[in-house]
Amino acid sequence: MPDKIFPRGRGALFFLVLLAHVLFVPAISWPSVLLAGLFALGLSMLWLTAAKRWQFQDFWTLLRRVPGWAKKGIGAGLILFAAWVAVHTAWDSARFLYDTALPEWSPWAGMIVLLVLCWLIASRGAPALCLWAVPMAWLAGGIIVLSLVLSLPDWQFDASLGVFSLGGLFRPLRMILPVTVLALLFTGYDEQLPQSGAVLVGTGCAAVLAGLTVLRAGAVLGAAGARTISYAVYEAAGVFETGILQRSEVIFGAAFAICMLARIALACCVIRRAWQLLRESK
Amino acid sequence: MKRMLILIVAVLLACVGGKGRGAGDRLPILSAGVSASSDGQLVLTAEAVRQDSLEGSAASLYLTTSGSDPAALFTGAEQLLAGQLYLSHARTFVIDEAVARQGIAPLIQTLLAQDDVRLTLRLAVARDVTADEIVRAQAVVEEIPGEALGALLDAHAVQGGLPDLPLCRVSDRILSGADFSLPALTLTEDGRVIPAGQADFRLGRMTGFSGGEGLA
Repeated sequence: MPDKIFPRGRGALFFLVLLAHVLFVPAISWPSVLLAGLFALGLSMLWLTAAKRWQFQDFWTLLRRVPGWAKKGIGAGLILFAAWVAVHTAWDSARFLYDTALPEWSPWAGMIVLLVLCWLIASRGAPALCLWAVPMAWLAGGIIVLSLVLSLPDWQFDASLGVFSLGGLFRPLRMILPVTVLALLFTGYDEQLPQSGAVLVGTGCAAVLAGLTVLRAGAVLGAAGARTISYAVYEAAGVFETGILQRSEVIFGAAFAICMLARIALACCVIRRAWQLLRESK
Repeated sequence: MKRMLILIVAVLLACVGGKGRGAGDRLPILSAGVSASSDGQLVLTAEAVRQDSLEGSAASLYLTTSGSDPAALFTGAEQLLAGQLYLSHARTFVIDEAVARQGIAPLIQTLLAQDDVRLTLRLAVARDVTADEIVRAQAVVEEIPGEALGALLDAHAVQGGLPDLPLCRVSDRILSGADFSLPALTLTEDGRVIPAGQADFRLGRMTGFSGGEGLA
């Protein structure tokens, strides 16, 4: 039996995992970030259309149709691929925490703690992860939207902000496509629980918010200035002060920390599921 | 048990791999200034706040270091303190006219390289006085001079009386080759800090003052 995941949870998971890369992209490439998000949306639509056409509930049920030796190969490949995504995301997140909020912790320690924490979240399976994702998506989305709205008076537009190059698309695509593939593994066609609406809303909202967040960095710091600042997207969230909230980028960073946790936990879920597949095919 | 072992290893790694900086070995700075000395060296004056107890009132203390370039100023301060300047609370950075005329790009890059500096830090140029004198000037209303200096620049930026260009925007203007202006500050005869027009910059170098003549 495939895992039963409610549509809202699946949409929330897509939303979180497709936002996590935003902290690490250059601040001037907002059209590239938006396009990369829309590319992920297109890929999801293709996958959902294929799932409806061939009537499979998720990738794991589709694998039942392939011979045992292929199943083993695919399982092993998926474990390696998901492990690479998990370690890469955990390392980036740990480096970010080390450079901004937690200089006392070594990035190695941060990476291990993140991996252990996400493994614990993932150990209850993809349905539990998606249930966890629903309130987290509201929390992270709310913080990001609030941060964008509060910083609006500091936005300044100039022509250099809209510059788009095909080369600039490569980096956000490289960051977003692996995790889109991982999220799609748990997605398919389910007559009782239609998924396409929630997945498309989650992916679409992530694409738009990612684009707006990167645009804000360029508009607040200036296109040229943003290039010289590491984590410009994060730093740009700290330009406004509201009451006692004087370092607002810390709360903004927490929203993205949730997104990064979701991404690592998703990769851990894939490792667990692929490992089960390998054991079943013995 | 295995999970516990992994966590213990992680904590051990945390102990050996971090920068080893706690809040205790950082000196919180409220305002700072860079002046040029007669022998061509740069001099950094930083106003820190010390509060010995929770009940006691905060008192300013001043730290001075010199160096041949902006990066050397911060290195010198770290060696002097055996710690770090904590710039997260700094609101104002004052620059001498002589330093501004030589170009502020290296200073801006050095400030941006400090991982705790606020991008909303306001820069100002000292007019007819040194940056050191502006930073050390006594406050009239506020208890802490650095707070008063920050409040003065904030108030005039909001009212439109002084240019409103935080650190991040100054960096953007220099990198994009655009002209810009920074607020100018001077002292009255009784030692109060007042606005004195603006300092105009082209390609990161100050070209002159405009407005605010005869204020002091």
